[in-house]
Amino acid sequence: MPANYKIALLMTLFAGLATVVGGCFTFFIKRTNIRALSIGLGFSAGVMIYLSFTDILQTSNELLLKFFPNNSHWMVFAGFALGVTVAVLIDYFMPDHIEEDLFSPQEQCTHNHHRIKRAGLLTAVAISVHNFPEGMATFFVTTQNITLGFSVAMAIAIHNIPEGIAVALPIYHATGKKRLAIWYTFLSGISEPIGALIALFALHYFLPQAAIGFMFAAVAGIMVYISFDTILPLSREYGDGHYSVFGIMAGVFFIWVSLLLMNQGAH
Amino acid sequence: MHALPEHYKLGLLITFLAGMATVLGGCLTFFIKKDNLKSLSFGLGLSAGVMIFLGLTEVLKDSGDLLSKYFPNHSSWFVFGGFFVGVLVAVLIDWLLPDHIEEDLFVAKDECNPNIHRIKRAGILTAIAISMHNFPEGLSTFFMTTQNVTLGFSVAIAIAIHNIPAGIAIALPIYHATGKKHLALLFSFLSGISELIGAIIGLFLIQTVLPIYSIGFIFATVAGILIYISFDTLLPLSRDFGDGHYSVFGVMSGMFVIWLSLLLMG
Repeated sequence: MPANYKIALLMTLFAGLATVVGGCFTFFIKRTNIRALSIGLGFSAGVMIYLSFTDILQTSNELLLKFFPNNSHWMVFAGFALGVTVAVLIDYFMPDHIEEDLFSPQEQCTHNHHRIKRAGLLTAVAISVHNFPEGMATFFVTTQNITLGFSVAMAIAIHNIPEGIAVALPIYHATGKKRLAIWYTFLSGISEPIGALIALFALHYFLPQAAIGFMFAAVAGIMVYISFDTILPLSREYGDGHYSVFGIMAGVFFIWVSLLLMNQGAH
Repeated sequence: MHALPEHYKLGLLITFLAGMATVLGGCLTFFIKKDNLKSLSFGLGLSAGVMIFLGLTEVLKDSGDLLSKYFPNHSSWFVFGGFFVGVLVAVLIDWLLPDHIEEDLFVAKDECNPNIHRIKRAGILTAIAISMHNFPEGLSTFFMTTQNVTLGFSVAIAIAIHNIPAGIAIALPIYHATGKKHLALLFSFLSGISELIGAIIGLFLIQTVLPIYSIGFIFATVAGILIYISFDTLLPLSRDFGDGHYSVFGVMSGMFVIWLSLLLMG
């Protein structure tokens, strides 16, 4: 069993269940809170891009250096490219349906409950699929480096909140049932720890030690692609450009200072 | 008075060429069609991808290496400080002088021009704003090249790519308002030359006042400027000119291209 595997599973569970927190927000959400969503999404993207390019790729290289002393840089590159490819494929087969019009006020047309409910269900399925590799990512990173894993889990938890809103809002509007809305956000969030469990299984049985550094680079690729393809555009849609850039820079500075402080404490 | 830095001639030349990409953009103005906006979207995304990748990986790493010689215990805090200053400088320039590259400047010519004066003024203001933005970029390219030619060259390419639409943004309104090609080119030239002026001032600073250990700090500052410009200006522009896919495709291509070239060269 890898070190820290219990903590890793626990952190992944919490990061995943942030969708439920988002679902609960649905019942109180007002139009003005969307700015906070814009900053939050920018923040999450800033954290993920910074972590990927600095810590995760560096750790990946250090892990791979032991097994491939001469070609470690190329292996890192290949892992990153693989991660991007996986993310592109998931996006291509299962685009996520977080659309802005879902956030329009409730009183508008309820003549097609069925369609709205279907949008909610599709969103729940799509987000489950997207959460799956994120869960694996959080788990892998945490087993190697708790500080880094915690940072990744935080970034993922933050952007799971609007995902939960996107799932719960249409279902709540269409059915009026809070329980049902929360239940679906739970289902879409639980795929995060399921991804982690499968990662644990793979790590325990057949993944060679050398593959872990490679997985790290793939994780970086997935996070960078998700940030640029999904999170940043969403962040810009919910606010004017300034909230988004403010969120990004805040995310970069926040995670950077936290890592500096934590590393200082470790020495 | 320090010795002249290594590669300073090359640094000036590369910076000059990156700056002159505005003139290239100015020339494109005379042929531009609406469909070319897609390649503009891709190009801006590419440039952002290159700058974000370089800023967060190579430039910060070099900054840490340079600073750890002088501050073995606190080098990572100095890197952070330098980056912060860079973002602050970029925010201040943006706040005092927002750049006026607006999409409506790209609308087709045939639309009435009842207020030629206003359009021309837009062009001149754009030229001034872009000159101001080019100045720290020139400084960055020059500093990079003096320390690491490969890195400087990569930064110069990214800057050259995004100077093309900047040149278009200057030349288009002036050309439309006056009909004079040479006037449009002159203004795009003037805004591009500020890149070189930035480099010359950089050379002067290194040679006279700046202590050697500040170069690592400036590297981190450069990274901050590159990152802020990418997220604040290049990515939004890239998304405005195409649908989201061209932009993301550009960003990822930029990262892969620059990474591969660094791997092959290093």
